[in-house]
Amino acid sequence: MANIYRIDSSALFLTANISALGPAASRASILDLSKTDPSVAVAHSSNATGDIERLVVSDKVLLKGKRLMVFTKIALIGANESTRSTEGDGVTGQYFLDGGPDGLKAFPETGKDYVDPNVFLTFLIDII
Amino acid sequence: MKKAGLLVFMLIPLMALAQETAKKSELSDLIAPASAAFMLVDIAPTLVQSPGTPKSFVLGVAQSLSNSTSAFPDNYSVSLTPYWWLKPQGQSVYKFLGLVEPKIGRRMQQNIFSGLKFTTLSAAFINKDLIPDEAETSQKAFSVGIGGTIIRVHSPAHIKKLYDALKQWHEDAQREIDDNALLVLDEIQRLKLDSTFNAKRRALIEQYQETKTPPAFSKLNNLINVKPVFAWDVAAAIAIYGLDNGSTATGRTGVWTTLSSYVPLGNGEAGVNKNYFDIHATMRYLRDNYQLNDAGLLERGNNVDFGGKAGFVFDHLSLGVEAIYRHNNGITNTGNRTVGTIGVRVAKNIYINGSFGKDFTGPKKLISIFGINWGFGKETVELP
Repeated sequence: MANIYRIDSSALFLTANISALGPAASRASILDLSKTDPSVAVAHSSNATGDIERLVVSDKVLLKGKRLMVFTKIALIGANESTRSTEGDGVTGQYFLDGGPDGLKAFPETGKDYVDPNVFLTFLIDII
Repeated sequence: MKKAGLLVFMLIPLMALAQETAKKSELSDLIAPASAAFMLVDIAPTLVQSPGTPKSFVLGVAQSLSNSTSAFPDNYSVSLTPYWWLKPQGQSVYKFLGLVEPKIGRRMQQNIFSGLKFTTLSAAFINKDLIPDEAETSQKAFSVGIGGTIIRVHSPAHIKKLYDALKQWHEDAQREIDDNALLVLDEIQRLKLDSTFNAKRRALIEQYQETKTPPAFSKLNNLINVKPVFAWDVAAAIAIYGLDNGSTATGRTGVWTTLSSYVPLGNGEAGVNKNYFDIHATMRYLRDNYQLNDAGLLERGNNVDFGGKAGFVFDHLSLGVEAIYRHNNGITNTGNRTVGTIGVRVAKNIYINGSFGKDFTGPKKLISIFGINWGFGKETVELP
């Protein structure tokens, strides 16, 4: 279940592609699991697609040994719960990391939760 | 409450009259239907399956077959939108609303063909006496249809409002997610990725607080419900009859097309319009290979009906006029149906409808109908 991505001295690039029939907003953050400090936001979606365009997350010093999360909220716009549930089934997230020794790698979402009228996507990956 | 009860009691006979008359040809029969297969064979199925996946469709057919005494499904009807089955990647709210996704250097604009992707397929397996001969035997009939919106155009002002509402929602959502980071999201980020992850994540997600987005989301939903300034809808269907000798033959073929224009009349609450001047022009071609002619004999009938209606639609009141002209086997019917209509919402979910005018030529050519209906929902009054 655990996702990992290895990095070296190069920069880490993140891309998030959200596919949904409703407005979406995404936030990427890093967290040091060994400390109690709050997460630090490193990227946001730029419009209601919820997508994060390919960008440099941070450098090796800041990321190594930490956990990256991309959290997305999608508001479903179907007229009734049945329609929204169908829309929710079709929501997907696809995440790309690049810049490490393994090159470009794609990952699906780690978790999807439908709480009418919203869907929440979670993507977690440990950077080593 | 007492007055309402009395009103309902007084109107019961009128309701019956209204329902009986509704079986005759009305403009609503000419409007391009989403489920053309049902319209073609004059059925209003009480149970229409809308399978969200191919698997549920196959299951529905199999269940209907198991209830049947033959290899023909027993009164099974289905309506589906293939788009939902395909679950295409790269979808976004912009594409859904027919908007071009915002990028640097791109103008705000709409895709007028965006309604095509929601084209609906319908099919019905029925046992019904569709051939008006002396034999009162039911035929096994299969009807299949397609219907959708070819073109849908919104005003530039409405398109700008949609873009602005989406921008506002996105900004509010970003602030809301940041607020929830300390409340629940950091805890999710700390969860162990083991077999307990899904349950723990779900429990935390349910604590997510929607503090910022509801007003913008409500406004967006209101804007989505605004009618287009122009729409072109098309539908078509064909019905195949199973005959007594074991053969099959085409029974009916229908094509519908409707042009609609909704002219907004000022802004309503929160700048969202609910008042319109509606204009509709519609045409239906219906070929019936088993149509009874004036001599009482079966013949092939080619029927073309043209209709139009125009009227004002307000939140609680609608006023309009509609007309239908008919052509049968190339001969124009000298009569026409011209009716004035009124609809009033007297209370939440209680509507009074009236129609006054003349029907096609015949002994009862005057129409004077007054009816009441009630139900559940939040619709505004539409032109009857």
